[in-house]
Parts: sequence; structure tokens; C-alpha cells
Amino acid sequence: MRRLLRDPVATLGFGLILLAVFVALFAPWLAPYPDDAFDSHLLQRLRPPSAEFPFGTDNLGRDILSRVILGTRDALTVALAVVGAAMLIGVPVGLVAGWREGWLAELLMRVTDVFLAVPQLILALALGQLMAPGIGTAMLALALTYWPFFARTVFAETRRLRGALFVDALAGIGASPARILLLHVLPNAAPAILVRATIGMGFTILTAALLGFLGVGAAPPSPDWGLMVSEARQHLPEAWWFPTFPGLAIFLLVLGFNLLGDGLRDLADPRLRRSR
Amino acid sequence: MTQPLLAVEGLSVALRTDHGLARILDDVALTIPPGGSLGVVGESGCGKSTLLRAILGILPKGATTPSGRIRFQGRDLLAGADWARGRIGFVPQDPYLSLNPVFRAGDQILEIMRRHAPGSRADHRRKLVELFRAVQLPEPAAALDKYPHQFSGGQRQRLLIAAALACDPALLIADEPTTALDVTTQREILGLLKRLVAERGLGLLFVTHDFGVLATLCDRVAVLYAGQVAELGPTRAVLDTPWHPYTRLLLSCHPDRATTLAGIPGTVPAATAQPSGCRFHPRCPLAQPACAAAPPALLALGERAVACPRHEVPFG
Amino acid sequence: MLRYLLRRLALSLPALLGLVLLTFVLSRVVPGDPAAALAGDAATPAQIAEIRGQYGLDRPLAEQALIHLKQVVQGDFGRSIFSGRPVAEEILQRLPATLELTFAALLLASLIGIPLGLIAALHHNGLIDHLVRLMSVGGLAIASFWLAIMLQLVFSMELDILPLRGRLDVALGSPPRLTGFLLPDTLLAGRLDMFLSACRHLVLPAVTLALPGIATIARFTRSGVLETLQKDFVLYARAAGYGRVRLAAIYVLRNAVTVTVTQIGLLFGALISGAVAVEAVFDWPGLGTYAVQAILAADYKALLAVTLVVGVVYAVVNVLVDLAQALIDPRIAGAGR
Repeated sequence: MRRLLRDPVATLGFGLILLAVFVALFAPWLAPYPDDAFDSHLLQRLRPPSAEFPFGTDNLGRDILSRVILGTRDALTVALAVVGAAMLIGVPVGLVAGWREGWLAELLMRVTDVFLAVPQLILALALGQLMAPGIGTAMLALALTYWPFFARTVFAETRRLRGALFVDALAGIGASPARILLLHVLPNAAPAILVRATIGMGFTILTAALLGFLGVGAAPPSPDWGLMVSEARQHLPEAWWFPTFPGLAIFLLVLGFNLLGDGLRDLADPRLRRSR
Repeated sequence: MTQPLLAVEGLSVALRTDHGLARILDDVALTIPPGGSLGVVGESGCGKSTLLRAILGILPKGATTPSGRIRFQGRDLLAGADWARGRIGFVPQDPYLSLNPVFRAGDQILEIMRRHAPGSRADHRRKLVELFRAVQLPEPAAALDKYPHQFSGGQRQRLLIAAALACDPALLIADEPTTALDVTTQREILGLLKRLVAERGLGLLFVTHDFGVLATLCDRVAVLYAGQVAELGPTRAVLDTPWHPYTRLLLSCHPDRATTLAGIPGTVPAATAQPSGCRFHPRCPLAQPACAAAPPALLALGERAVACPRHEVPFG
Repeated sequence: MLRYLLRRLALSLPALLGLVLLTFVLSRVVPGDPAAALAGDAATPAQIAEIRGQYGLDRPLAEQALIHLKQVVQGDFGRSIFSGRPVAEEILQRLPATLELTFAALLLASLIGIPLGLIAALHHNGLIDHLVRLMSVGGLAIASFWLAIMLQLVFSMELDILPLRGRLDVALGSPPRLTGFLLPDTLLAGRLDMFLSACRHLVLPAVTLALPGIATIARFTRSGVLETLQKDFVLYARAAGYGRVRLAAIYVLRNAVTVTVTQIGLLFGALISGAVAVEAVFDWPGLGTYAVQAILAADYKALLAVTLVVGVVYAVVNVLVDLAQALIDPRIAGAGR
């Protein structure tokens, strides 16, 4: 942790994430008009940024600043849930496939390959449309298409560690595979998983916003950033502030995760150190 | 006296490291007359490679500006070595790693010739094939269009020797050119080098830790310890009656090679923490309190020189 | 070289077969009875049964899977529920538009990203290096649909110097369709005005799509160059007297881009995903807009076909990437020579 904070760029990323978490936790108290998630005020439509509405108002007269703040919670929740679920599938698959040899490992990795044979978004669209469109479906589809990335990462780490001496020694004294995997392999693979998860958070926020934008994710009137940008399209070029601020929010949060992920990767893999 | 081909005078180079300034070379002086050959020996870490890199003008990024002088054919090299490229041929240590794997070997050498040798590309190609023949590369004409991985290690070293000769140099610098090769190939390559140097009247600076090689290739030898010249003289004389305690120990515990000094207690000191006085005194069987006080001067005695006042004292 | 290519092609087959199986499974978990869906709302049970027999839906599942595979291999993806036209035909119609956009973006990303990465590496830890690093992380954080809209706002709406949407000025008509790629088609038709219009329409979408690519390529080129600079052969080349510019721009770069080229294969997936967003914003008549339409119309056949086609394109691109790598680095295909 201390080493991470010595890297100014990673610290900036960490700061952005902390800020977002703070905003998400206290959103109803921070937002100037917390009811604007759903209420509309048609008399104050599309007002440009002012002291009263720092980010302006949208097509239904809602305060954009408030909606950006309220949307932070959704964005983080969605990303956490998706990455968490993907981890719950991908990590065990990677561990088992990496540890065992034979048909099961072969099968698991082949399935992983199939999921990786198509760009994630396309597969998520295909999966998502089989169920009723909505934020829940979108999350499920994203989780079902992101786990192979964890499986790959953990598989590679497990294979590497299995060859390492200390695991051989443990197997020699009769430790059970489950015990070795959970107590020895998993902690050693943790840095790689953490890096993958951090980058996955940023990636998922982007993809979820895109799904919202395309109309297959979050549904109106929820304060989803992607949805807000999409709603803004009909009001251009007059209301430039309408798409600008939700987009900036996406950018800053994803930037935070990417910068942190970059810093973590440097720590986890000294070979890739920038100082080289 | 004729002008020396290469004259190194009072050369000092330091390297900035995390642990402070490392003094890699300290007041080193060497000369090579035209057509003469000098071997530089010492353990790893004694400054051999830095000496070569200083002469070739490719010191690493962290190096301080060297002080002292390096003159080649009477002209300064330290101010910039570009003018001398091509006139100094370089044979590197590892033939496997020294050629870029993604370019044809011939093209890599032709590029050097394009910049540093007169004549057209066709001239260069013709000359290179001739050189390939001279270094006894099989199928010299076809070799031009092959990639490095299509040659064996010994063949690659022959390629590199041809590259070093491509621009008609006056001086050849070789950095342990046979350590990466097997024994038989080593002997062939050394024989080849010896013949080519003699035929072409080249000066030779040869870095090695192999005394056997020295005896066959070099008329003079310089022994380097911790960045300083410990002893200098005609090869035969130094090998037969080494003066400096360090040389004596090197030769007694390892008659052929200076790879390890199993018989000498201690190790080469870290370049950031050199001992006071004579740098060898912590490991020297002849050490006296005076040795730790002041560094010994290099005493010139006839053709030879030694940096130890007790060079005539036998080991106890 | 040919043997290498064939071996590489064979390697991507299992995943593609798996993908066909996956789309089959997906098409069978569609809520409701596919036969009933095909027959329409007013169908009688007898009609549904007839359709079930006609489409082989009453056969064992494994047999159905085989039939599905056979159809897919023959390029038969069924008819679109939305338009009633064969899906394969519609996809073929739209694929070139997406490919043209993607390749333009890839080209742009390489032309900017590689020099950027090289310069950053040569000024390692300098100001330019830090800027490029920041840009390469930032470029991957921008939502492409948002960037597309912002560019539209500035360049099409406010400055009015680039077209807002589409591939071509409607007033100009369209060239006879030969390749489906507009740039060559307009040139072959001898219509310079159309060609220029197509180019102008391509600028904003391609730039939007290229940005994450620039970031990725710059980043990997940079680390590739840094790694190559450590190699013995660079030191040797300096000692032997290579020119500084040539050393960096050709000698080192060629080794460094072997890493970058691998990344381009992976990048292509990101580009296809990005294309969905970019096409939606710029009304680009490609596969992305087709997929979005299919979702909104619940046209599962179209969507699964898009998934398969993208999978095949993805596999082909990765084979091409390996081929490019073998051309850059002769050691890779050495065994097959």
C-alpha cells in the first residue's frame, strides 16, 4: 500500500475512486436536488449551467449535477456486482483447470476459449437480448461474459505456481488439493486477480454505460450516465452541457480504475516496472 | 618514437547507482602501437567492459563524463567517437545476442558499410562476400541473404568478425569473443583472429579472463583489478614471473583462467565502497599497514610496470 | 509459410465450433416455443406442429445441433424476424461498412500510436513519456459513444466542417456495389466527388474508434522499444556505428512492434465493440447498427448470426496478425520454411 502511494499516478487513480465511493455513499445528502432522480420540472427545461444548476438542467428540467451524483451509486454498484460475479465463476474455473490435468481442465479451458472467441460486448448483447432487456439482464450478461478473463488469469497463475517448488513440497506432505489451492495458490494469485478486477471495474463501467446508451441497459428515468448521454442527443447542439457532464463522470471514474490498475500491475509484476 | 595507434591516459569513469557513485575505472593508462596487441585480464567486475565501452563511445546512460584522454591515431575519442567508427572494428562477446534476429545478417553489416566505407552497395556486397570467404563462412554468397538464426554460434562469430573488418579498420577490439562457444569452435575462432590480425597488420585490444588465449594472441598484457591497472608488461614475462601479488595468486590458483579466485579470500570490492590505499590489500597475503594508507603508484621497470612496492617479496 | 498458416487456422477451429454450439444453445433457451414464434400469433396447433416438423424441431436435440451446424457452414442463418429477408444476405450487405470503418481506425491508430510510443520510449521518464503514458491510460477511459457525440457537437454542429452522419452524401447517389467498401467502390466508379465525400464521412467515426487503439498501441510500442533497447544487439549496433535515427526508427522498432502486432489482434475485439457505439451515433449502416436494431426488435436469429460472423472475422484477423508477425520476425515461421 505504501509503495502504491509512492506512485503519483496510481495515487491519483486511488483518489478518484475514493472520491467516487464517497459521492456514492452520501449521494442523497450531496445532491442539491436529491429528488431529481425521478421528478421532472418542465418549466425549467434545458437551462444552461448557472449558480443554481452548476451542470445545467436536462430535457425534463432535472438538475444534471444531482443526477450525475445519484448515478455514481448505480455505476459503482453495477460494476462491483458484475466483477464480483465474474470473479466467483472465473476464479474457481481457473483454479481447477490450472491444477488438474485431463479432460476436465481441457473442457473448462475450451469453454473459456469459446467465450473469448467473440468480443465481450457482442456476446453480452446476444445473451442480454434472450431475456427481457433491463439493467438486471445487462448485469447478468456482462458477468457471464467477463468471467473468462478471470479464468485465463487464474489459470496461468495456477499453472505457474503448480510448477513452483513449495507447492510440490506441500503435495508431498499430503496436503489436500483443496487446501493447497485455497491456502497457498489463491493468495499467490491474488495480485494478478486484483489487477484484473481493477481493470475490469473500469471496463464494466464503460460497457454498462454503453448498454444504457444503446437502450438495452438501465431504463428511464434512472439516473444512468449512459442513458443521460443518449437522452441528450435530441437536444444538440443547443444543450451542450447535457451530454458533457455525464460523459465526464464516466471518464473520471474509469480513469481512476485504469490508473490504479496500472499502478497495481507495476507492483505485482516488477518485470514491467516503468522505471526500467 | 612513432605515434601509438591507441593511447589511453588517466582514464576514470564513474557510474551513478542507487548506492552512490561507483568508480568503475580509476586512472587507467594503456597504449597499443600500430600493429601491436594488448590483452586486458581481470575478474568480472574489474572494469574491463567499461574500458571497452569508453573507447567505443557507448558508455551506459548513468555514466559520468569520463576524465582523462583516449586517443586513436592521435585524435581524441572522448569528445565523440563517431569519426572513428569503421576504423575501429568491434567483435562482441556473445554472437547469439549481438545480431538483430529480425534482419538479414548481410543487411546488418551492409548498413555499417553504407555509413562508414566508401563505394557503392554493389561494391560492398562484393567485398563482404570476399570477407565471408576470408573468415571461412560456408557458402559465402548465400550467407548474405540469411537470417542470424540460420547460422550456428561459431558461424555467427565469423559473421561478426567479418563485420568488424568490413570498413578496413586499423584496430580490432574483441570482448571475450569465444566465451559463448564450445571448446573446438573457440580454438578455430582464435586461430582465425590471429591469422587475420597478422595478415592485415591490425592493432588488437583483446579482453579476456583466459590466460591461455593471451599467450597465443597478445604480445602485451594489462592486469586490471578494481578499476585500476595492477600490472603491465610483455605477455611472456608476466605469465612466467608475475610481479603483482594479485597476478601471482591468479596464476597460481588458476593457471589458465581467471574466472574465479577460489584460492584468494574475499571478493572484488564493490565499486561504491573501495578500500583505502591499495585496493587489493584486504585480500593480499603480503599486506602491511602501509598498504592501507596510500595507494601505490604504478612503478615502471624496463618494459614492465607494477602497482605494488612489495612485488619482489615472495609469498610467505 | 503455408504450412504455418494452415496450422494456425486449424487452431482457431475448436473455438469457432464451440461458438456455433453456444449460439445453438442460446437459440433454444429463447423464451417460448420457437415453432410457435415462427408460425405467428394466429396459428392453430396443427400449423405449429407442421412448422415443428418442417424445421426439424421435433428431432432429438443432438440432431438439431448437427442440422444447425450444417446450416451455419452453408451460410444459412435463417430469415430475419424483423424484415423477413435472409439474415446472411443482410449481414453481407452491412459487413463491409463495419470493416471499412474498423480498418480505417486501425490504420489511424497504428500511424499515430507507433511513433508516439517510440518517441516516449526514447525520452524514457521524460516529459513526453509521462504525457504519452497519461494519454494511453486516459484514452482507454473515454466512452466511445460520448466521444462520438462530443466530436459531432464540435465539428459537425458548431463548426460545420464535417458531415454529421452516414457514409456518403445522399445527394450524390451511390456507386455501383462491387466490394461494398466505399473507398475502392467510388474510385472504381471514377467518381472523385463521391470518394471525397466518403472520406469526409469516415473522418469522425474513424477518429473516435481509433482513440483507444492509439492508446493501446502507443503503450505497447513504448514498452517494446524499452525492452529492445536493453538488448545486446542494440549496443553492438551502436558500437559498430549505426546512425542514431536509423537505429531507433527501423532497427529497434521492427523488433518492438512484434509485441504491438499481437496487441492489434486483441485490439480488434475492442474495435468491434467500439464500432457498435460509433455506428449508433453516426448512423453508420454496419453490423453494429444491425445488432442494435436486432436487439430492439427481439430478432434473435439476426443477433446470433452477428455473433457468429464477428467470431469468424475475429479469428481471421488473429490469423492475419500471426502471419504479419511471422513476416516481421523470421524466426517464428522458421520451422515451416
